[in-house]
Amino acid sequence: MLTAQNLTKTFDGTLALDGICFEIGDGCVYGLVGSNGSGKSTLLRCISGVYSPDGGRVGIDGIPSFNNPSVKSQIAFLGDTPYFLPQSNLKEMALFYKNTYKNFDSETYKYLLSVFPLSETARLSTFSKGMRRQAALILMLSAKPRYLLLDEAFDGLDVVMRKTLSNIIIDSTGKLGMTVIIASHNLREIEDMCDHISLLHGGKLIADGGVDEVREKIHKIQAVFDSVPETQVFDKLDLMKIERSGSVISLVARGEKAEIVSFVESLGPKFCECIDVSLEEAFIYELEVLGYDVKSIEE
Amino acid sequence: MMLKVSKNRLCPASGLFRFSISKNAGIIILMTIGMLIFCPGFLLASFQNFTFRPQDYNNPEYLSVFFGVCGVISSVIITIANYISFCYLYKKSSSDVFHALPLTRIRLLLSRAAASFVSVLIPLTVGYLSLWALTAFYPSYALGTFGQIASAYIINILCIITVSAYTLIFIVCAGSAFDLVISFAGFNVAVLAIGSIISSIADRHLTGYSSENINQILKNISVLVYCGSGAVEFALGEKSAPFSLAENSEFIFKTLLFAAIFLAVSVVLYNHRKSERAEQAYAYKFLYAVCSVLAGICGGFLLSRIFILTGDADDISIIGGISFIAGALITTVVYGAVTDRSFKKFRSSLVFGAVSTVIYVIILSIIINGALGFGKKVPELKDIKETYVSFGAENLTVGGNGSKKVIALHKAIIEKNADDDTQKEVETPHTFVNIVYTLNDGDRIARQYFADIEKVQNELFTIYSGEERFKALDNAIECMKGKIYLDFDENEDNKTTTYIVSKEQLVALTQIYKNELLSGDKSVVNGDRNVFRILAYSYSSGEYYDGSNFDISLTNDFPETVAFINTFQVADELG
Repeated sequence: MLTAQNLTKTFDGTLALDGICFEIGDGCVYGLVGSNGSGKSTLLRCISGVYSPDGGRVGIDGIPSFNNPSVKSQIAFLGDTPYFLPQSNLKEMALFYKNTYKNFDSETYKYLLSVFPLSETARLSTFSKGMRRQAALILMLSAKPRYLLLDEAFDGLDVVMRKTLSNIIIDSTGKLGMTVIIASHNLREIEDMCDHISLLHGGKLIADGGVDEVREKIHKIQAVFDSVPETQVFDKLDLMKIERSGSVISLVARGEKAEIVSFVESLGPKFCECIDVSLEEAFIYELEVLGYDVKSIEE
Repeated sequence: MMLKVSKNRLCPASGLFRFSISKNAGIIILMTIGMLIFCPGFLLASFQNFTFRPQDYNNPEYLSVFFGVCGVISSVIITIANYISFCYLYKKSSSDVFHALPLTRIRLLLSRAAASFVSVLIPLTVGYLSLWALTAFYPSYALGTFGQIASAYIINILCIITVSAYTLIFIVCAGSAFDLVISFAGFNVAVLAIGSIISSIADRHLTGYSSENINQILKNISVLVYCGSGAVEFALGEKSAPFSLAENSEFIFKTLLFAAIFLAVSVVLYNHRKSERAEQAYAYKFLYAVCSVLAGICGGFLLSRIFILTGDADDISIIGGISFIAGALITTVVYGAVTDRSFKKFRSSLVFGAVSTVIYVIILSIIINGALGFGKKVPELKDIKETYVSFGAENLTVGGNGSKKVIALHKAIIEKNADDDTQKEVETPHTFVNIVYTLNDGDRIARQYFADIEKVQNELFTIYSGEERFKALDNAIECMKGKIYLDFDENEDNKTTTYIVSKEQLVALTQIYKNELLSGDKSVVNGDRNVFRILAYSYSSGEYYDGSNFDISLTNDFPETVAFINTFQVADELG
């Protein structure tokens, strides 16, 4: 199990990760979403042992990953900008990873090469952005890690390749028990394939859980009143947002759906409706609570 | 199906090492070809054109040149190879890839450094093996014994390891290529500048200081010079120590110690290096204070020299002191402003300027007070291989008993306080006495004195009229072949007459000169009354033989010698 306990990382006095805690089991797809500069890439680099944490710990089965080959051999990390050795081709890069990762599987490499139509002998520097990412994905997947960390995995891939990669990731988690952690600022991109999802903002983990679990924690209620109650009345709820427009009150709150609806109905509305929120909306509301919304940024 | 743990026993460090070597294979092959062109190619070609056969010498002269050239080139190449191996540190994407590999930082560092080292080692080994094979096939050329070649090879490798470990410190500290260049060049150039400043001060204030000592100063303060200058000295043929591990034990011990320390420092720094520093100026932040202080010393010294020279003052004067402080402060403030593009570092720059001044005062004090006995150091006779001494128009290289006489002169200069400041007016005759001891381990001790001749006239004359000097003249005569010419310069008339002489005539001339010298006035050593010069040299089958070993200057106190020369056959008369 991949765990982080009170993980902290600072850059020149700026807190990039602030007391992150999580547990990620085997064989799942874990989505890591967040605003720009929220600490997604930093978290992945800490997990993969590239960065040393300034506080807390992160590792596999309680063993820290930084400077620990036994843990790092179970992790493969693909950063947001794929890197290849100068003047190298895919064949040479495969040899590079084969020489350094115990689990590197030539059969998987050949299979993936047939899926992603790339030349094995052409120089990687001549590849397009999308092709370079495909090449890097082939290599990382061939390393057969227990944990595959992908930073902006779908960046630069066309629609077909996105779908292909998505299928390969799901296949790998199912057949091999591989855990894939995908960091992205685009929730829609990874929503469908993730079992578990976390929201990072300002270096903090502000929401974490199964995809449905996260979504079902937040409820949007619209109610029409003859005599509209004061908004303070709703403070009894774990309120995230409330808007009043004439006789209509729209609110977003965390908690059990039945309890929230019951509370609103107890105020005697003419009409009351609970609307399901999408995952994207749920995260937008979470960020709005923290002051990260279009309005506050424009101000 | 869960992910299976592989039974592959692959060691990532050795895997990375093997991969790095295979990636460098092309360059290694090219370097090996280059080495084979040099040895045996170049050496085989030069065998056809040897004027002097190497066996005429008792030292492995060509091995020295080979060692020197290989030492310098391989040191440069290992530095470049290290940069190529570790340039992944200067880019975030590449830093991520390498630091995510299943290796500890130490193993990553060592596997990459080892790959660079082996890439240089392979062509070097091929070169030395070729040299050894040449020695086996052409024994008459005496390129060196197997033991000497093996010793040279080991010393060469030690130099490369030390240079490699030293450059690694800068490489692992730097955040970007520019950062590396600035910190590496800045630090090392500043160190060399400080060495030159010390030399300049010592030249004016330190008893016995010779301009040749700058090499020693630079060797003591710069690792690159320490490892490189030895090789350069060999390459330029200035030094030809016996290649024996035992006789170079001090050098070997020091380089091993330095290599171990530098490698340990590199490992510690790399372990503490933060990957997030990629693409940031990192090393320079650490070196800023050091470079600022060094720049302060250079700036202060430069300004003080300008004021001292224009004001005809001394280093230890109010003008010298004030101009140094002003120069140091201006330099550190400007340096800080240029580096930071603002005056935010104004206060710290003033502190660095003050530190520069304090360091300069300490250096000046040490030098003025004799630099820890520098001027009074005289080596033991048993440690000396040969000694070079020059005074007046005379210069002589001696060994054994001759060295003993030079030591006596050296001690007399010190004990009789015969050395005077060249800047001061002197009333008695003075001469520059240069002494260079070549020690058994190849090291040199060089001293220069502006000696009061009256105080050390006996010691000078003992050398001037000694057997060693006449033996050198005899040896010069012995080496002459074919037609022997003798140039007789009459300085007062600005006239040169060339004679053709025989060896027997030269021997007789030497004897007459010797008799006149021993029976004459000791003040002949002054050299300031010399009016004649005799220079003998020879030609054989179109080849010129250097005549510098038969070179005598005469005063008017040698009438018989001059008269004997006039009996020789003038070359023009023979056509």
